[in-house]
Amino acid sequence: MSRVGVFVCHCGENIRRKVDPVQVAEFARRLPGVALVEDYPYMCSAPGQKKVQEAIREQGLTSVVVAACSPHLHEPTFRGATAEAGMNPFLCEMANIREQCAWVTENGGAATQKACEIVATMVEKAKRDQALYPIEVPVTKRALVIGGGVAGIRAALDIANAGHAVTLVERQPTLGGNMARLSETFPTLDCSQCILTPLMVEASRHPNLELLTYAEVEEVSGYVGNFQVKIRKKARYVNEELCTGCDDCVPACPATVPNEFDLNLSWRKAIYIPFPQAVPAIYTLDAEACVNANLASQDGGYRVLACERCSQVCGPNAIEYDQQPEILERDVGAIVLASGYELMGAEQAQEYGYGRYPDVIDGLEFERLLSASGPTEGLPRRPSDGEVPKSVVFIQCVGSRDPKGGVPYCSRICCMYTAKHALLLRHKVHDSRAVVFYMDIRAAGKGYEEFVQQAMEEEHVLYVRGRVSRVTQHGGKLRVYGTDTLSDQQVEVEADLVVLATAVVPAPNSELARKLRVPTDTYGFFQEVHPKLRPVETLTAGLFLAGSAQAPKDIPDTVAQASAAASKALELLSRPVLEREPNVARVDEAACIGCFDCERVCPYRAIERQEIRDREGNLVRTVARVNEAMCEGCGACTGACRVRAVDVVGFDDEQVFAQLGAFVPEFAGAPA
Amino acid sequence: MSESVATVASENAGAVAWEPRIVALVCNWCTYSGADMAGTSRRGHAANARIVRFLCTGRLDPLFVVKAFENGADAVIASGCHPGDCHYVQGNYLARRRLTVFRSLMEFLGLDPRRLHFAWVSASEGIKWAATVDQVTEVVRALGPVGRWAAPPLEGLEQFALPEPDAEPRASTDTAGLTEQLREAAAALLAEGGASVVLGYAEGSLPGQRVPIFVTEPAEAARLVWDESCAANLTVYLPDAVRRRHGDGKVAIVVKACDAKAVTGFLRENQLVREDVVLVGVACEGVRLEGRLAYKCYECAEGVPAGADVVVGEVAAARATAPDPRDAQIAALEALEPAERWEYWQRQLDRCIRCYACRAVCPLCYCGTCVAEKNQPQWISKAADGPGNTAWNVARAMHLAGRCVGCDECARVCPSEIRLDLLNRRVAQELQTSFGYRAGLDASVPPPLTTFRPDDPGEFL
Amino acid sequence: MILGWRLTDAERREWLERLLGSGRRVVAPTRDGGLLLFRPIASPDEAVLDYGNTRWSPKEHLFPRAEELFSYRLTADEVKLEQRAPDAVEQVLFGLRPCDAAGLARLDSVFLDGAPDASYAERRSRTFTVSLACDSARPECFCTAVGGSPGGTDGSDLQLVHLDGSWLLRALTDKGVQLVETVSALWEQATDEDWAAAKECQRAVEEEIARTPLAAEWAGVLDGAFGHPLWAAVGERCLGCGVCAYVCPSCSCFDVDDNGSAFCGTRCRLWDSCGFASFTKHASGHNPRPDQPSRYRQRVLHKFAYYPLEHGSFMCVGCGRCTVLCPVGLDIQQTVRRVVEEALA
Repeated sequence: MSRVGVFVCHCGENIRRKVDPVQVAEFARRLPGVALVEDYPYMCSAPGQKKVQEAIREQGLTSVVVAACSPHLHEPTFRGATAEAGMNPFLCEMANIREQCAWVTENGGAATQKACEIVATMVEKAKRDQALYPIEVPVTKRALVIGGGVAGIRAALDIANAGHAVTLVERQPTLGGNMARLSETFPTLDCSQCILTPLMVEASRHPNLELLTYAEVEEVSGYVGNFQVKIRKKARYVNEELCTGCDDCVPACPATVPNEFDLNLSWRKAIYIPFPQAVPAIYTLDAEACVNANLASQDGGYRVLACERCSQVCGPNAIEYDQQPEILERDVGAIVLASGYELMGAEQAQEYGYGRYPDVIDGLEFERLLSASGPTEGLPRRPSDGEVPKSVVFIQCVGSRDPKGGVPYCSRICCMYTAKHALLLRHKVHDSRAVVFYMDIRAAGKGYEEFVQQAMEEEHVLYVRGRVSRVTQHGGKLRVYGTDTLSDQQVEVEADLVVLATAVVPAPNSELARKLRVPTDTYGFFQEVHPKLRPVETLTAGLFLAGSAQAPKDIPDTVAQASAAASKALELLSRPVLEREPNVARVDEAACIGCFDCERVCPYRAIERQEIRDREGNLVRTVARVNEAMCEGCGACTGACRVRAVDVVGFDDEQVFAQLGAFVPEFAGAPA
Repeated sequence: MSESVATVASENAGAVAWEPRIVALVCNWCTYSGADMAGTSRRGHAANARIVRFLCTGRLDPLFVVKAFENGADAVIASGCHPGDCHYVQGNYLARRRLTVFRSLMEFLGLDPRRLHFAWVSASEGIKWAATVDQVTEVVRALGPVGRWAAPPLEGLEQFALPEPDAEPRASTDTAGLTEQLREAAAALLAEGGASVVLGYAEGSLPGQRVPIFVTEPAEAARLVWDESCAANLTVYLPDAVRRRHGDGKVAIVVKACDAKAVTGFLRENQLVREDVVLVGVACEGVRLEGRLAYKCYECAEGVPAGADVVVGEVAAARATAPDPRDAQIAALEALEPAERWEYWQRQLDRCIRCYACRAVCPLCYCGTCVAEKNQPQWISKAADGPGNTAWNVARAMHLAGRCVGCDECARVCPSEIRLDLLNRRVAQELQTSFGYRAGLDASVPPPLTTFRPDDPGEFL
Repeated sequence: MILGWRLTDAERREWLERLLGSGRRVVAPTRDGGLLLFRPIASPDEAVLDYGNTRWSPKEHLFPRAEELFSYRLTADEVKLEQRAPDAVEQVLFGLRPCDAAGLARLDSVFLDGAPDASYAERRSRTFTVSLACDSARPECFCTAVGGSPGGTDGSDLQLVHLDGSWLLRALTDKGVQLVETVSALWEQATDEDWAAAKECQRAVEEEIARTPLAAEWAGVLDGAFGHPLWAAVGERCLGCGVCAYVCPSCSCFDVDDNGSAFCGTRCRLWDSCGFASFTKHASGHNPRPDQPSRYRQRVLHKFAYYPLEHGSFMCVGCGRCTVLCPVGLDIQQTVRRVVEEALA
């Protein structure tokens, strides 16, 4: 038996000016199921709320309707008051007779009638409200960070420093990502490795941080707070405990392959360490490069080894040819995705000779040439003949801002790193000349504009506003044909080296996206929930984004976003249980016909399949079930369900039906 | 219910000057906030709209709109977030498709399109909300009240005559040979264990009648027949037949090309596993109802169902087809004024006795408890009156949208000869022209109302 | 001596005119959108009397498809219940076949015996039935198998027989006499020869129907065969729609449904069919007839076992509509014969 309390607010003059609250109260008294009606000038005030609370306590009310302003404004207020009085807050509804009635209706009689009808519908809804409780989801107190570049390291450290366990997984043998490849960073010209390696070391030593390098995520299942992850730790063939990093194995190794850390500008051995400051400082034997063809065979049984030279010279006896990959299982509550970027390949830069002329290189390759730990020990040299280039042309926007040939977006970092490259070139090769072909200069960060001006004014880097039509090679020299739009002339520049600022694209991640069921945008970057308001969250609850995996960005923004993702993860991990709003969908399993249209339309993948079996274990049917930890309550499933088996708690079909039946003119009283 | 409310409404109308009654179904995050914004900006508007709040327009069911009209609304507005801005990512895209198809159905039934409006109003568009309410109020004021919903005065017994085709593309053929081959194939399947039951056609007790038969012994296969009277779509028995025989052998079924398309629907909707079924496809030149070629056979070029496991007979490589006569019939109805079309359909629906033969015979109506049987809440009145019959037939057509394969069984078995096939076909046309979708061809294509494209068409304010 | 007359066609027409002019509603077979149905007519020409049978029976004029029992409305502090006043117009069901008239007699036994159903009784009391004997049979007819006949008079107040261009008319009840009181004096009396010719016609049609009668004892046989495994097979193809029950002249099951909101609504009586899955579904969710064969069995037994054991005649009147209109061609009398044959074997 319903006993609804209706409280009609005057809101001072705001409602009373057009809507007669006394008439509304009179009308409400006649509504079936209404036990008590009061009107008052300011319901949201303390005395107003007290009226509601006293009525709840003394009149045995089953639900409450406050006819006042918009629920968007004061629903929390009145629900709070209701809860304090001992009634479940979800039994309190608001009838919007201010914003949607008194404030928009000229004629007082029409406004009063409308208010009466609105109150009637909300009383009908309130009669069918159920007591609801926040949904509690247990949380595993461990985070997983995928990707060991600066974004992943920062996020993992933040989480570890907050006192929570975190597993950091990196697929390369070392932490560092692309930032470890850089020589110096803009705008401060800090040595990249100098600022990065302390973080890498901290990560390797942190008691709360489990570092898994040369490992990849194999499988992820579960949901927010309760993910189960399988991680494949690839075989290094080197015992991590025993290797001292002495480097004796490298000269002994007969196999030489291109060094991918140096973007194939130099060579390495099959057994190697990516760079001297690698973390962990453990060598890795690359099975693909090793002379022993069957090193990576599965069974680990008897094998004939053609070459054991590294093992023979290894003092600590750390080489283990029969090491197998391991699958590690971890339970985690939150996941941060920081898989990083790479530069777009040669296909976009055909007309610039990339791939044909050895002296046409991209931005990361030039970084290696500038880097002290690089193939040329910090002095840029031409890949073709090793000569130090005197004239270098830099071409910006190769592939970026190019809807037809490349990607339509701006890669954000190239204007700055090109200025940096030109500046560093001028520092290292004093008699060099740098020419930059640009469309615009985007230097929006702190100190960025000043940095670019420094390159232009102090180092006299020549900035030419125009595009390059092609690059040709004549007897060892490159010729760059472009336009100077500001002087409206064609230009030809002779260069020893051409550096292309190619577009930033996400590192290959389609497998990862599939395993994590995270959507990516058209260009492969992981999709955030809302680009402005929720830039580090994904549609999968509990999965967060950091760094260039989400969109191209520089180091300051990467680090900031990594901390933001960490704080989101900590939001989850820092509470004993996760509490979610109870307005979720629920399936009546007896009615469900198992068509799973609901599963198709759910944006949150909150529909699970549940098998119903008989006593002998035979499958009777498969029905849908809502995972309340993931459901956001939108009701798309309900809209799609033909058999009406699924419904949204708090906005259910019965309530909708009752509201649609409550707009009855007769009972609203004749207009004044 | 509607009668009582309508009585009340019309009594009230006598007492007070009529004002348009508009029900607005809005989403919480955008339009509801937009309506609030109209208030905070003091942008007044007509007092005729009554809002029902949902969390998302993706929640909206066409039955809400029908119920609103039954309860006395003169117009309905559905409004949500702009495409791309849905608080729940994609609910409004789903709503756009569903409401677009629903509107095409209601317009076909003769509802004046000016009574149904869809809008995108964001949280900042208070002015747009006010303008929308004002605009719709004035449009409906000019239209006048709905009056009693689905109860137009049906004076006299005249009915608009639909155009009939001049000629049939194909003549009758001799099917005796096919019957023999079918019997052999069925007997072989049963004898060799390829199936534990064969669903086929047999002679009924009345002349020319063909009825379904479940043959379990090879000797019984002699009762199977195949000819132009084998109109029934036997796939309606499939999921249940498979379930009852689980583990006991496959179910073989005699199917025409049109029937077999329903199997695609079952596969897509998890009602059937392909391996449990043996499709015995028969070469069909068309079925005849009272000697006349069935409409669906005019444009059919298929002859033998795609994907049949056993094929009986062959069809001539290029056979004569003609446009389906229903396209001309639909066009003729659409050329009428809405009020005339409404009267046409209300006459048709007035004869509906709610026997649910249409539902019973449709393979894709397999819900354990149909929405028409639900009474908490009772969206569809059980009474065989105008409002109840309208709600039922709208629900049926919408629930089959994107799933109906056009076997026309519903129209064939309707004891009142209601042109249910025209409703299904009109909805299918809308799905094809607006969303490029055709049912029954590919089990991997999701049902069109469960998916969307960001650039789907839709007329929204 | 049979109280009867011989009318010319013009006299028949004129009689209809009179009935129409007398303030009564005349309901006769007429074309409605391509179907032949019993509908009120406005002129004698609208009545189709040269016909096989209507698409469905005329029972809806006594037992409506949807009948409002009362409506409720909230006003001020009271709940108002309103019942519509019956329209008090007398109605003449004109030209129904003997099987349909027999069907009405079956409905009378259900709704009037014991505690009479008020609304049915009210409607029945102001209804006159004028049946039209059959002069030919259709393949689905089997009235003779269930104790009826093409000239049967069960349920008729008056009966017409079309004979050589004239119409024989006889009054069978007081109500029938009442209906022709004002005009019968103008008509020629029918002779014994006329009635003999009519009888002959009837016999010819019975021969055309050519169905062996179902023995009355078979009711008991069927009842005893409730548990026979054959029911699973005979009912296997039933799809559970309501066509048979709704077109049937004698099916009388109904549902009571409330439709409305907290403020107003109606309570209606509606046709229901034992073929529907939800027909016997309990509020607990249990259904004592959980599958279609058990529901089909129920229909057969009700018509051919339970009703006859209670009332002495088969409830089915043999019009054959269910066999024609059943989407899967279930033939109820064939089913009966088959089950009885198996049970007796």
